Amino acid sequence: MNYFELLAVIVILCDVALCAASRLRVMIRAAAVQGAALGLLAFMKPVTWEIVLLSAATIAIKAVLFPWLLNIAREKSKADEPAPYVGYNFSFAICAAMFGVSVWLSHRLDVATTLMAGAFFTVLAGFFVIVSRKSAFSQAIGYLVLEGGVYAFGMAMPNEAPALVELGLLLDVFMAVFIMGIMVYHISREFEHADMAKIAFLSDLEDYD
Amino acid sequence: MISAAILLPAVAGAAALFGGKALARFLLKATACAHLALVLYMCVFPQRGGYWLALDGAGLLFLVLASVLFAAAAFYAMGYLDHSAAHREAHVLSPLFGTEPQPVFIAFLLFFLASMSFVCASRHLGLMWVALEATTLASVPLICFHKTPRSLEAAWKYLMICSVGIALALLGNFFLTAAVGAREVPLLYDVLRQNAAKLDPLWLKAAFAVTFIGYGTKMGLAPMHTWLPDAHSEAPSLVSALLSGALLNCAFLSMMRVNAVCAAAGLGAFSAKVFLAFGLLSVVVAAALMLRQRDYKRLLAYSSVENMGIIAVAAGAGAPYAAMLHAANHSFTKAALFLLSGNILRRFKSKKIEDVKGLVQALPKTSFLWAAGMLAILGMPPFGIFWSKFLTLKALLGSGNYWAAGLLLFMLAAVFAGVAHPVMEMLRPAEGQSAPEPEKCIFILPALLLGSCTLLLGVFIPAPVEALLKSAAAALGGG
Repeated sequence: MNYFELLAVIVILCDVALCAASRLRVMIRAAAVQGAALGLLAFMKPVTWEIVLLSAATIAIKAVLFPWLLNIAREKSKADEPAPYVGYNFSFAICAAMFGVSVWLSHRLDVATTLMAGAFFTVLAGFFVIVSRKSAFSQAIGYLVLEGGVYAFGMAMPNEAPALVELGLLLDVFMAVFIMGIMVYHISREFEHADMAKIAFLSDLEDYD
Repeated sequence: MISAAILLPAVAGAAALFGGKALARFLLKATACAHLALVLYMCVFPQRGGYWLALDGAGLLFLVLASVLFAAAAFYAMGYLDHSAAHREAHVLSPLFGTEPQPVFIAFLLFFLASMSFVCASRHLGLMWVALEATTLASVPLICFHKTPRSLEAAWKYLMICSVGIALALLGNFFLTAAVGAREVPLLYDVLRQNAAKLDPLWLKAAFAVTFIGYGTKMGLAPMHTWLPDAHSEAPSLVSALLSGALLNCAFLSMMRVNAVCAAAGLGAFSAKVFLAFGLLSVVVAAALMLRQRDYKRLLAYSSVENMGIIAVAAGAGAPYAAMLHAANHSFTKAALFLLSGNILRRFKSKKIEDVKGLVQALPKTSFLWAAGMLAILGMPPFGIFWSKFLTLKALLGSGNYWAAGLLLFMLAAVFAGVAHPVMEMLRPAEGQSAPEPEKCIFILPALLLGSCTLLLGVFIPAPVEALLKSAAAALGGG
């Protein structure tokens, strides 16, 4: 097993940890570790200065900046993580099912590497975290994980995307993370919690004022 | 030249961020005019374009729409920023950029224009993705400008749902790369179309499916539309006008770029079915939610879902010309209506239809335009929307989709019957209504100009406009 296989396995394990974690601190840490692993995966490609830049920027954003921003916002809002829509044990079962689907999908599309299965799994796991968790924090983490999965997919592809596009992607992710961090901060300050299930003023059916 | 259309608003936005209030306001007006002039110049003198950026007919059409709408919204913004109570509060991003909210609002408006121009002018599909995600990021701070709990919720929903959707579209881009394989074809939409036969059909199909869901989310097609009514109703009205009139088009353009590659690769029958199915579903869902709607801004928002559905149906029925015409008509009409809804909201301080009584007495000019705009959006002749809906139905019948045509016609009739009544109730004179307040030109003229464009497209399409619409339709395949 070479180092990149090991990194792909770390990415997968982080997904499992994210799906089953009940505490926000654990989720933030798992996402950070995954971000670092994804950053190192960039070295699968032939090493150029652009790859080094990409890797460094990915690690800086996903493993340092975003966890830091989220931790600040988390400390400002003292509320606990609300219970998710799906229980933790059941989440674990869904997690296993998603992994099965990812492996099947990567075989179906004739690209059965660990990283490819891991990429699909990460996309699904991110999606699952977004829909199953109620707090804005977890949803933001879910988005980051989902995006990480797409990034891993790009790394697993044999042909190269132009560096300009890669850097554009990274800039977008950076801005997205930045704006999400600010939004989470405002939401948790405005409502003194970040439980999006309770923040539901907008509806077509209910009467409102 | 093409890059100037992107750089100009971007640089102006950055300058507005660090300048004072007066500078920001000047920059907004000046940039809106300069951008419009630049875009019209590029209409008259077509540009060659380079590797990354190029303007074909479709890109140009949507760029013109975005630029015209932005100019209208920019002048409306002058009045809005004077009257809105929001400018006394700090902006969402104000801890970062000083406490003055107006320059921040104006800066993000300009960034929004830059990112939309970027989408229209991108030749590389990866770059187009970057641009479309940038539109989301630029518009989030605009939606929650007032920082009310409702607008924060709407902005969060918008940010999350659209970002996830767009992330799926990025996956679609990688699938496209996989479809290309080792064949050294860059992801430029025109080059991909020429080499479509060489692409791997299975990967291409997967790419189309994922991209459709992704960009469809941003375009507001059901069942991925759930963010749209919230964001469009909670945003300041001039932002709603841009979101609905210009941004949805950009998402549609992105989708059609991938669709054109599929069609060239012989997957046209498959993609047409997808367009038709999601388009019809959007019309049905929007119609159902419009019938009992009690909030007039949400009503307009659902009407956008409906109209995006009609555009998708037109694309699926193999009538890109009808789709382009409808997109143009919808942009003008819906932007005008959203600007007017801002006038109503400012006067009545409520978005509920039942709270608005005696509009004719309270705001005579607005009420006249509101009534005309509503008739236009519901598809009454002589407005342009009537013709584009008619052409869509004709294309459906021509391609043998009788059931779809019947369903569409029924839904359009249902929306008309359901919406016309409450809107007329808003207008009807009420007792005890105070004397009309003077309505400022700046709140009326932009809507009047946009409305006149719809009327013009309905009565007589000038030859250059016709040529632009045709070249747009040709650029997106079919003909």
